[in-house]
This record gives sequence, structure tokens and C-alpha cells, in this order.
Amino acid sequence: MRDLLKIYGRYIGITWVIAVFLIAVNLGGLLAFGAYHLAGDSNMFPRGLRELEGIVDGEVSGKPAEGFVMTAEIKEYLESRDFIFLLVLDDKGDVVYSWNKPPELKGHYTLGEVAGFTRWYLEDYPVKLLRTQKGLLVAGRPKNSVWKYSMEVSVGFMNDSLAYVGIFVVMNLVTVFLVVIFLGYRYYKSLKPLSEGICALSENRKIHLGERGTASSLAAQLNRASDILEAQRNALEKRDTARTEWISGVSHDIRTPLSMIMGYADELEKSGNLSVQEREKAAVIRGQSLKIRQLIEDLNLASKLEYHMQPLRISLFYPASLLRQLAAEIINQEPGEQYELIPDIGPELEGYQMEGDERLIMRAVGNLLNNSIRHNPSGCRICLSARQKDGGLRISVKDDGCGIGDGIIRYLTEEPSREKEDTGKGEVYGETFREGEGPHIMGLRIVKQIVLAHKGVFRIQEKGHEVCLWFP
Amino acid sequence: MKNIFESVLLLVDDNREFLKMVKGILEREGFLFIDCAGSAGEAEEYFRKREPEIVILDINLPDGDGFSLMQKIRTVSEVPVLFLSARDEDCDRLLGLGLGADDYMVKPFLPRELILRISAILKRTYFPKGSPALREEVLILGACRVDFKSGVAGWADREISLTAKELSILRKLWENRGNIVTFDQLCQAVWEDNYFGYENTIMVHIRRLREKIEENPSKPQFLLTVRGLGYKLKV
Repeated sequence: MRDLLKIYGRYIGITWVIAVFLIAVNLGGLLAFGAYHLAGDSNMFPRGLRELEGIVDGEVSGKPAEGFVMTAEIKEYLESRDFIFLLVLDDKGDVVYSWNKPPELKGHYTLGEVAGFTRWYLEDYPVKLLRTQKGLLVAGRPKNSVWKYSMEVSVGFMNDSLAYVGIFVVMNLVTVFLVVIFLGYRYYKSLKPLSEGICALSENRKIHLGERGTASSLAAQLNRASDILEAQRNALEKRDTARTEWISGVSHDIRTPLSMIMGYADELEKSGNLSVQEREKAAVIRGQSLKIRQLIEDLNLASKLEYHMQPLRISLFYPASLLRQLAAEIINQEPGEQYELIPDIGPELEGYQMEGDERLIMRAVGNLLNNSIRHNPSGCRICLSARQKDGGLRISVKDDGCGIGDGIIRYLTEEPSREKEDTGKGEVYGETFREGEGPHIMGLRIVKQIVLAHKGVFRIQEKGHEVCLWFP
Repeated sequence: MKNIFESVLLLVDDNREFLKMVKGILEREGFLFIDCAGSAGEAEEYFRKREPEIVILDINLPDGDGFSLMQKIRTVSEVPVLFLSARDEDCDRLLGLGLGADDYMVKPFLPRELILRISAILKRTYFPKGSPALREEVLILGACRVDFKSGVAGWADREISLTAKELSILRKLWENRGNIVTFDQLCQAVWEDNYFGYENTIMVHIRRLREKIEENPSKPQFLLTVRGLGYKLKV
């Protein structure tokens, strides 16, 4: 909206500049034009015979001639001024001399006729007159060469004319100002929905603008763009849903066969008819089946979290109690003497309640603890600490084992683009993971997804030996 | 029916191979009467003739789903139901339990877990108040002999009675013997409250309990503290 107001303001400003510029150019042009024509010998304003006055009368003193004498000087003067004929009338109206007199002209003119052509035309010839002592000179130019208009203005008006000019200028300016404001406002109004529409589009919202007024075609195009975006979003969502449902379907279908593998492997493991080696092999089958179970569960959860199809069951719970229970469960599974789990839960957390999906958060921390155990078969010290921090809960799992590989850290901390996502070959960003890191990355990815789903922060520190989770 | 192994179990699943395997697992465990149904129709037919003691029910059946089958069963019988399904969605779990199922297990499962859960349901339903064996439980902790029934810790030379709270703490630990019981779980079991505010109370009770059942209370042999987490009864 601000942008539009800025555009509106600029539009008004520019219009003003244009108006002022136009006035300046006109005034300048007029001045230049007038100066040129008034000063130079342009034929725009046909000149009269004023310069002849001295020449015609001057002959009286030099020569004893009674009447008008056509000298070369006068002739040259007339021709240079585009005159084509000359008559000299005496006081009675008789033509006493003529030069190139057109045939339709008479030899005598009455007072009334003289008064007429003085102001207008002589038989359509534009003429100029000069009163001399030798008579009235009447010099004519070709027909249709000069436009004549006689104007009379009252003295009062002429005296006030400056004021009138001022009033007109002010009225013009006011009109320009009002018109600019009005037109600008109309544009502003017609562009306002467009501007709102563009804002909505940039925020990935669906729009539908009214397709009327000056900006109708733009509005239609914006609507079309919005429809296309909407269609693409729907298609993407549909694809994501299809993918999640597919994964969910596969993981569902694999469960019954896997139950049977586990069930029979369990039976073989306990069978008294088999040798120890054979029973050990059955135990391996059972153990690996458990891993497959974990993997498909992880895959399913990861895909649901990735495409926001895992609804968060938000509830209030006591994180301290939850973490103790989790740690106790891990120890109760008796991972072995070589592991040491040190719980370090801040006293400020007793009685502290937080909001979140208890099961998912437990899953996240459980994944971290189990990772530490699984990836350090020779044992390690694991520290599970929790503190209140920055108005939220900070949980950290730290061990002194092998740590998380650089490739995985890069993969998890750099936001992967969709195309570059896990190819399933254990190769991401050109990193090849060590053997057995596949489940590691899946587990950690779920941890990260769970934290992000809670709008928290996921961080790997201490060269891969510590994972910090922060929940708001 | 003298014990749970004489119960009649009805397995409903559309996969014959799977039925055969589960039947085998249960038979080896000692269950004597195991019947199978391959569809919802077969299960309904079965109910017209007789009533089992427990139904283990799949959800995806060729002629309907386990939820509606369970509702139909409920109109004629209050038999306990355990869902055993490949569906692991929370909503399925909640729907099943919400309909009144006694348990919900997701495939694939550990055979041992299935047996334990079935046994637990059967015990709870047909042998309430615990098995006779547990009621007469006597806890031997080295030279000390705790009788849960009379609430007395018996030593060679003397007998010390335990308070109700001490007894329930000990019982909770005994039920989870070998495993850690967190402070929170203990508080819930004994005081039915959150741990917050009970830190010292629990410590005092445990100290008194140790004085009664441990030979050397400052170096406990059985009632162990797991630092930062809870207590554990080592037997």
C-alpha cells in the first residue's frame, strides 16, 4: 500500500513538473518567436509604407516636380515588400498616378470606398495606405496574401488586462492541480486492488480481483497467475500426499510378512532341534527384522513430518519427568557395562511444564540416546542434560564416542534442496557415508524434523559429539 | 478354567499363514484352545456357536473391518479384545482403544510381547486382584524377609512393621524389580501426584525404608539410588 502511495505522489509531482515545463517552453517559444519576427525582416507581419514617407516627400525640395514621381528607389522598395501595384489618389478621390494598376480597379474612389479599403480590402487586394503631400499612396499586394482583422478593445479592459492574465494563470494552475489530484486518485483507486493482489500473491495467498475499470486486464492476468500458482500448489500437495500415502501403504503391507519372519525366526532361535550355530543365525534374522521394523517406522514418520502430515498432539507435560523416564528406559534395556548414562536435569525444571507433542519429543531424545549407544559398540559416556534457556527448554545429548560424521552434519545443517535430497544410495552432497550410517541419518533427520515441527532449533556441536535441541 | 492356559482364544486374520504362525507361538507357550477365523463372517458365525475368552483381531479383513466386527461382538458379548494390526496410525490405535478394546498391538511384533499382553488381559479379566501367588508374595532381601500381606520386615532377631507408604513404595519397586523406577513414577504410584514438591519426602521415606530392610542403610545392597533418575530394587 505504501508503494502505491509513493507511486501516486510521484505521479502528481511529475505531472506538476510537466505542466510547469510546458508553460516555460511555451513562454520561451513565444518570446523567441516574437523577438525573431519583430526584429528580423520576416513577412509574417506585412509592413506598411512608413519608410516611403521621407522618400516621396523629400523629392519636393530637390526637384520642382508637381505630382508623384515613381523613382527607381520607390520601385525597389515596393518590390522588396511584395507590393504589386501602386495608386496615388488626390484629395478628390481621383487616381492621379498608377503603377501596374490591375484592370478591375477604377480611376476614382469615393470617400466611403476609401474608408472601406483603408480598413479592409480593395477589390480583394490587401492594400496599405500612406498619406503624403503628393497624395494618398495606395499600395496593394496579391490577393489572398494577407489576412486582416481589426480589433477594438475598451481602455478599461486593457488597463485590467494584467490582472486578468493573473487570474487566468491561477485558474489554470488550480484546474491542473484538481485534475491531477482527481485523475491520480482514480488511478490510485483502480491500482489499489492490484497492489493488494500482488502483496497477497507474494505471501502465497490465493486472490481473486474484480476485473473492471482501467486495470481490468492487469487484474485478469494477476488472477490467472494466482490460479496457476494455486494449481501448482495443489499439484505439489497432491504429489506429497501421494508419496506419503505410498510410503505409508508400503510400510503397512510389509508389516505382516515381517511379523512372520520375526515369529518364525524367534521359534527357530528357541528350537531344541537346531545346532547352536543355526540358532544364532535365527537370532540374527530376528535382530535384523527388528532393524527393518525400526527403519520402516522411521521412514513412515520421516515422510509424514517432511510433508506436514503428522499432526502434532500438543499437550502440557513435565519435561523433567519425561526425560527421567526415557533415561530409565534406556538403562533398563541394559545396553551393557561399557555405557554410562548421566542424567543432568536442572533443578529449575522441576514443576516446569511445557507444551508440545510429548511422544514425538520423547522419540527425538530417544533417537539421540540410542544413536550414541548403537554407534559406539565399545562403550561411551552419555550425558543427557536439560536446562531452561531463552524462555524454552534446551535438551542436549553429548557423548565421548565416535561422534557424528562430517558428511552427515553438513547434510543435516545445510538446508537441502528438494532435487538434492537423499538419493537413497547413502550419497548426499557428494558425501559417502560410512557403513551403518544410513539408520543414523534417518534417526537424526527425524529428530531435526520433530524439533522444527515444534518451531525449535536443532544444532550439532562439539564436532559431532553433542546434539542440542531447543524447544520454545 | 483353573488358569489362563485353559482359556479359549479366537484369532481373526485374513492371512492363513499368519494365523498358523501365531497359533504355533501360542501353543508352544501352553495355550490349549486356539480357534481361528479367516474373515469377519467366519468370526460372527463362530460367535453364534460359542464364546471365546479373548479375541485377537486384525483390522483389515476381506469382508469388513475389525472395528465394526468388534462392535458387533460387543452386542452379544463382553469378551476382551486385543487388536493385532499392521495399521500403526494414532487414529486407528485411538479408535480401537476407544471402542473398548483391551489392547492394541502393531505388527510386526515380538512373539514374547504378544504372549505377555494376552496373559495380562486374561489374568486381569478372569483372575482379578492378582494371582494367588502374588498376594502371598514374600520378598527376601538377604537376611530380611518382607511380608507384603502383614506389612512386616522380619529379621532374625526382630520384626519391624512398615508404614503404608513404605509398603507401597516397596511394592512399586518390587513390581519393577531390576528396573529403574523414576521419582515421578514413584510419586504417581504412592502419592498420586507429580514429583515436584516431593523431593525431600521421597528421600526421607526411602531412608526410613532402608533403615528397616537394609543391613547397612548407608551402603544399601538392595534398594539402590540411580542418581538423578530414581530408585531400583536389585533382587
